[in-house]
Amino acid sequence: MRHRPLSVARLLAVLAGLLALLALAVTASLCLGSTPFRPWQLWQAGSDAELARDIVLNLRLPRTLAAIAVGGLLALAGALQQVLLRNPLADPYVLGTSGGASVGALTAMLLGGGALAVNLGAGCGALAVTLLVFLLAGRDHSASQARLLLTGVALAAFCGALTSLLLSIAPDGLLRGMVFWLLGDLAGARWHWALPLLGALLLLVWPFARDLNLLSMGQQPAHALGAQTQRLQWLLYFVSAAATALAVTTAGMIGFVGLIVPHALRLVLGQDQRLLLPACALTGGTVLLAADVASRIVLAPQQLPVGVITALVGVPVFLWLLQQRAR
Amino acid sequence: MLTTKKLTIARGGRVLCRDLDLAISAGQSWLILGENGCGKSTLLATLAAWLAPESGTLHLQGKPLADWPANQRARRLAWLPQGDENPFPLSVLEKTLTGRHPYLGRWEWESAADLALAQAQLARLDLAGLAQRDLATLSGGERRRVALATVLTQQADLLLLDEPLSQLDLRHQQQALTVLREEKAAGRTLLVVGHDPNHAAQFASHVLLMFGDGRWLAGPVDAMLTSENLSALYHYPVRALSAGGSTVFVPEAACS
Repeated sequence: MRHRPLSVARLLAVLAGLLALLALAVTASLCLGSTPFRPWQLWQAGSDAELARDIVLNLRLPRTLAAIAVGGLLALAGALQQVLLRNPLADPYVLGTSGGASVGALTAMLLGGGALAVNLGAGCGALAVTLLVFLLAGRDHSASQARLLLTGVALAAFCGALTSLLLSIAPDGLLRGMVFWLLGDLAGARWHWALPLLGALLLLVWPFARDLNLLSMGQQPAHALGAQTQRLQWLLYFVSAAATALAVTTAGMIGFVGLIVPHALRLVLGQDQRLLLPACALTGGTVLLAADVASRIVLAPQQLPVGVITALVGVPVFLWLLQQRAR
Repeated sequence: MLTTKKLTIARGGRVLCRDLDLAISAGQSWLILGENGCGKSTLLATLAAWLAPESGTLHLQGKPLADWPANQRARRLAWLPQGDENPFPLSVLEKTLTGRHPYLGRWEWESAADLALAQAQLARLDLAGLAQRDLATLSGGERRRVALATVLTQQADLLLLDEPLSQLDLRHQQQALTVLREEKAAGRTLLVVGHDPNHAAQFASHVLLMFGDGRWLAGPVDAMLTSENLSALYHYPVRALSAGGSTVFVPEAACS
C-alpha cells in the first residue's frame, strides 16, 4: 500500500487516523496517573468530580499539551534532519543538536539569565551544533555516510563533556534546577509557546514538502528538477534547529523520539514528505504522551523523568535499526 | 537551443576543456566521447547550471543560463546525472512522477494525466511491471532505466544524459537507443555522454570529442568519427571496419 503514489484522499485519511490515535493518547493521559479517573467522572456533579476536574485541567492538561508539542517538535526536527543529511539515522539527540541546546541553556542559567536568556542560549547552541555537523559532514555523499554519524556522535560527546563541566562548576543553588532540566521532564513544562510554534514551523515547511522529496533523492537530481537546493537546505537547517531548541527548552533532553517516529512512519507510510511531515508532528506527540503516561504509572506514585523512558526504549530500537541497515 | 562561447571548465585546478564554442540547434543530437576523467560529466553538470564555469558564457534559448528561474529552466532542460543513491524507500512510480515537479505549482498535486505520462515512460523502457517496486530492490541497470524514465517524464526540450546506457544489457541498450531516436524525432535536442563510438550511428548527428587536457573537437558525425581521431582520443589504436555499408570502430587487438 505504501508504494502507491500519495493522493490527497490518502493523505487526509491517514492524518485523520493519526489524529484519532492522538485523541486516544490524550484521553489516557488525562485519566491515568497516581489517581485514575474514568472520563465520564469529569462531567458529574459533586465535590469528587470537582477535585477530578481540578487535577485534570490544572495538572494533567498542561502536561499533556506540553508532551504533544515536544514530541511533535522532536519528530519534526528528526524528519527534517534526515532529509537535510540524507540519512535515515539522523536525529537531534544522536547528532548533538539537543546537546548543543543544553550546553547553551546551562551556560545561560549559570550566568544567571532568566527564562528568555535560557531559551536564547538553547537556540544558539542547537543552531551552532547543526551548522557544525552540516559543514563538517554534510557533503558526505557516501552510501554509509559514516562520517556524518561519527561527526554527530563526536559532537554529542563533546557537548556531554561540556555539560558535565558546567554542572561541576555550578554553585549548589543552581545545580538541582540544572540537573532536573537536563533529565527531561514534562511536569511543569510550559506548552504556551511550544504548541503554536510547532504548528507554525510545520506550516512553514509543508509548502516545500514536494521539493524536500526531491532533495532526499540527492542534490543533483533535485537541482535538475528545478528545486533550489541551497535555499531548501538553509530552510531545513533553521527549522530543525529551531524545533530542537524549542523542544529542549520546554522539556529538557528527550532522546530518540526524533529518530524512531520518522523512521517507523516512513516504513509504513512511505517517504513522501507531504504526508510524512504532518504525520511525524502528530505521532511524535502520541509517542511522547504514551511514554509520559508510562513514566507516571510504572513506579506510581513515584514519577520517572520521561527522557529516561524514551532512552530506555529508544536505544535498543536504534541499535536494531543500525543492524537492519548494515545488512 | 544551447550555445557556449569560450567556455572553460576546470576541476581541482586542472583545465578539462578550454574555450569551448558550441552552437547546438534544436533537433540536433550529440554524442560526447572521451576517456574516463576527461571532464564529460563536469561539462554536462556545467551545462545543467549545477557547476559554474571557470570562464565563458552559456546561453539557453538565447538567455543566459543563470538567469532562468529554476523551474522554468527545468521545463526546458533535463539533466540525468550519474549517481543515483537513494537512502530512503521510494517506489519506481513515485520516483518517475518527480519528473512532473517543474510543472506543478506549490499547492498543486500530481494529476491523473501526470500519472499516465509517468507510466507511459516506464512502459517505453520495459519497466511497467516494476512500477510498485522499491528502488532499493532493483539492479543497477534497472535503476538507471528508472532515472532515464524520470528524465523523459520531465518532457524538456533539451536532454543532457550522462551515460544513460551504462549498466544496461544489450537488449535494453538497444531499447534505450530506440527511445533516444524517438525523442529526437519528436523534436528534442540530445546531449549524450557515452563510451561507445558505434552508438553515434544509431542516434547522433554530431559528436564532441574531449581530450581531457583542454583540447576538444566538435562537428558532424562523419567528419569527427575517424580512426585517427578516436585513436588519439583513447590513446589506443582504433580501426574502422566496413560492415554492411556502415562503419564500425573496433580496438586494434580485437580485430587481429
